[in-house]
Amino acid sequence: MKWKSRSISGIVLTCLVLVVSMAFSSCNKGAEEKQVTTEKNGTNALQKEIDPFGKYDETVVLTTIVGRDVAGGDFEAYKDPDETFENNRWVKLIKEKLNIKVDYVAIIDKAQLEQKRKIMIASGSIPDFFTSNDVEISQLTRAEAIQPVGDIFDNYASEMVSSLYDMGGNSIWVPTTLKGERMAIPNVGAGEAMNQAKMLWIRRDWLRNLELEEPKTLDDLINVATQFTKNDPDQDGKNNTYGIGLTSDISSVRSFMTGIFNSYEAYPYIWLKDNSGELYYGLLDPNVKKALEGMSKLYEDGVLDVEFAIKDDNKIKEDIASGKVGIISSFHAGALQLGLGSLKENDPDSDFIAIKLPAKTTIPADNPAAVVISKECDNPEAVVKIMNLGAEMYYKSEEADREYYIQNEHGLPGLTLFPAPQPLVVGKNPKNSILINEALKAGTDDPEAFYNSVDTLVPKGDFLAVYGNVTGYINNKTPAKYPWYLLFGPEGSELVLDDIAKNNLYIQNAYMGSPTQTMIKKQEVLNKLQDETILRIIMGEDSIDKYDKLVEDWKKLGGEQITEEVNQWVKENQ
Amino acid sequence: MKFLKSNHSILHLMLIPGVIVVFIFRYIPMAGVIMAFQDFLPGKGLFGKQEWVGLDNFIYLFTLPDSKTVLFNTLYIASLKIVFSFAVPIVFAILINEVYNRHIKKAVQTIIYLPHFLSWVVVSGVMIDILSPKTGIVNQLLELIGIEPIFFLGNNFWFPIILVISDVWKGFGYGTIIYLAAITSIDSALYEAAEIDGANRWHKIRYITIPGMTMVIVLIGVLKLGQVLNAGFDQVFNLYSPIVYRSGDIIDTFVYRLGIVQAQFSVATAAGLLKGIISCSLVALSYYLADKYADYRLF
Repeated sequence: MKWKSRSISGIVLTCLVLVVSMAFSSCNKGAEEKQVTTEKNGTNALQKEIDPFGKYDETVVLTTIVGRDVAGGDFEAYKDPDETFENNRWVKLIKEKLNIKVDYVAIIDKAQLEQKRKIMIASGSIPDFFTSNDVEISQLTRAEAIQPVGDIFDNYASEMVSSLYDMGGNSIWVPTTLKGERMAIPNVGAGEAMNQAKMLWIRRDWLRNLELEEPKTLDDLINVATQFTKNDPDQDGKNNTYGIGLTSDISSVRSFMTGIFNSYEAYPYIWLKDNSGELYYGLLDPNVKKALEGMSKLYEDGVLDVEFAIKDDNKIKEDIASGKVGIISSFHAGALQLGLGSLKENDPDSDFIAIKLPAKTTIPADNPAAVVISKECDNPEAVVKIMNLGAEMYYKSEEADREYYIQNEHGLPGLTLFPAPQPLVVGKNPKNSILINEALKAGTDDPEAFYNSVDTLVPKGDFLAVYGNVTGYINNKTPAKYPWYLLFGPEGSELVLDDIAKNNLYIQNAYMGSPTQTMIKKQEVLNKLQDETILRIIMGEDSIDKYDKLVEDWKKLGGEQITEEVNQWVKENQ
Repeated sequence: MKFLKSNHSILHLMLIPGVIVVFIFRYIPMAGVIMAFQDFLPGKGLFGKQEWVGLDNFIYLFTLPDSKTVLFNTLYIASLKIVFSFAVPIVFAILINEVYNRHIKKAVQTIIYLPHFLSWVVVSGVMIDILSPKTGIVNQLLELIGIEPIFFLGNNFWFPIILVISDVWKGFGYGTIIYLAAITSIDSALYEAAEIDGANRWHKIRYITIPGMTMVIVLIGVLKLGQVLNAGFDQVFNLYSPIVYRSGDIIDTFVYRLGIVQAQFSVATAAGLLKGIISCSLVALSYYLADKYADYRLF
């Protein structure tokens, strides 16, 4: 019996090995075939003349991946009967106008996009084009898996697209330029660095209850936050509020702690320029020590949320919605991010406002997200053509088209179906906000007529949709529209953002290159070191003296080397 | 075709789907261990022209300042878990066995088995709430008896203990069932004989139930040895934060941050491979012990 069972499992295993080895050999065949076609198409592409909107004679297939709200009920609600994620209005339009077939090899749930993309890159089979990030771009460049895009972009970008990129300034190409070659097309407008500027979202009704002014200095801020904690700002007779909300995320770009550090004029996690033009890591600045000292005092007094170290985004949203948090330092879209709509629903008297920090805010280097084009792609210019078409439709299309492709009658963005990054106007939201406030002041009944009467780069769809949301709150007090009012209304956060941008109230990360070799290698160790030490100091587990040891360890564990590499980059890029 | 006629052969054929799944998802990915010996560059592909670096990744791993803490945490948390998740179900199985009321017995069994089916994401959400120093029920109870609130999930002394307690709570119902099965298989004639000889309940437990379970106890104990390096990724990942890194960061979470978050595939693979080798030898050792002390053989 024993012998028999072995022989059977032996047979099974042999079969499996055979099947698998067959599968692998057929893979190889596929690769060979592809190479042959590559050469053929390559010559074709060379013969074509340059036309930013030129339609191909033969259908060009471009593969890509994209992150979508796969469960997205929104799409279900507004799609055409025969429309699918894969074959949507934009894909059809691109096929019709340019004869380019956008082929999604994968549509990935937004939340998992980055992980799935990493795995795809690691497996060595990347699609023709896709949006990637800084670390990946540098890895892909080293692996010679992507092609330079500079010339293609210069040659094929339409006037509209070029002007949008010019508006982004010279620095926009810096993060994706490796060894002098532009390796990826940055996302202009979308996710621009300025959008990450921190501000303070603060309960104005609590300020009123306690007869306090909006904080203008650090001392004001500490005073207000302390009173929010101790003096029962919600006047329910219970000690159930705290001053400043934070989460366990303490060092990412989105962290709520950054703005608090910044209020102390401390700028950890970004690279600063000293007087001689050398770059140094913000963590090493003595102000960080002062900030840590101050924050550990606040923590001891319960002004900082005692449990922040284990709170994630959802937990903090719960706290905000149940009216426990007085101040939170988020970015311009904080009202949406923090779910202030549900707070308004629970407590109609609640009232938030965004104000600027008492000091300059951190902003990151320009957006690291950018489009890479695979080395295997035979028609790289097709990607630029798609972007041209997108911009044209966004800014210049006819009414009906705009409604269909950009923002449909439900206020839902058809734009999200666009397969490539959309070139956007820089500073679109503040511009839109100014426009909306002009319209509000003029008391117009017909926003469309108002829009047509002004000269602006803000897309009509954006203006009309947001104007509708803001007036929706003003007229009907709909809680769901409340965040929009806080963003774009008369005292909205977008105007604060405008103020920060125009009056230079920000400090941008001075290192704009892609991560250096040592950064890639040591980042995890250094992150862990700084996150842990900073948390321990704030929470009083370690004394403030540990900061000096942190600085020392940071230098020893690779920081010194990184600083050298960073300054080497400065020399090369000046 | 003769072997198809035998009953056992049919049973073996039914193994095939399982074998295929294991082969595809466990054996084929093993090819990836070559990454541990390369300076793996994503983009060149798994079988692309990667640079070979020998044991560099392993050396790097051991020079990391955290590797000792991480290893210690893993061993500490896992051994505590092994001890308690081993002992608690035995005691509980014996206790349940002594309950005469069948309904209570079944009800208790079902209830303690229930948490086994909850995922750690759910359990950790609940735990964060009930252990909250300000609003959590546990600390409110402590306050009633005059103890200062404890930040269980933010305290390096308590964190591993909470891990162990919650893990035992979640898993002991499942363990209990195995022991109960062992107890059920004890010949009831033995109990009757003991009763005639004047044995009380304690005597019966001491001289019949426990000896009757020995085989299963030894077997499970030995098999658990193979898990010494498994401190439980799901659980730790959902509960930890930088403040408890020094007591809660285990090999798996470390590899996750290194490999998935920072995209350092080579180093992460090296760490994973190392863990695999040690676990594998421990399993081999435990198999040898199981054979020696419990007469348990698979092959």
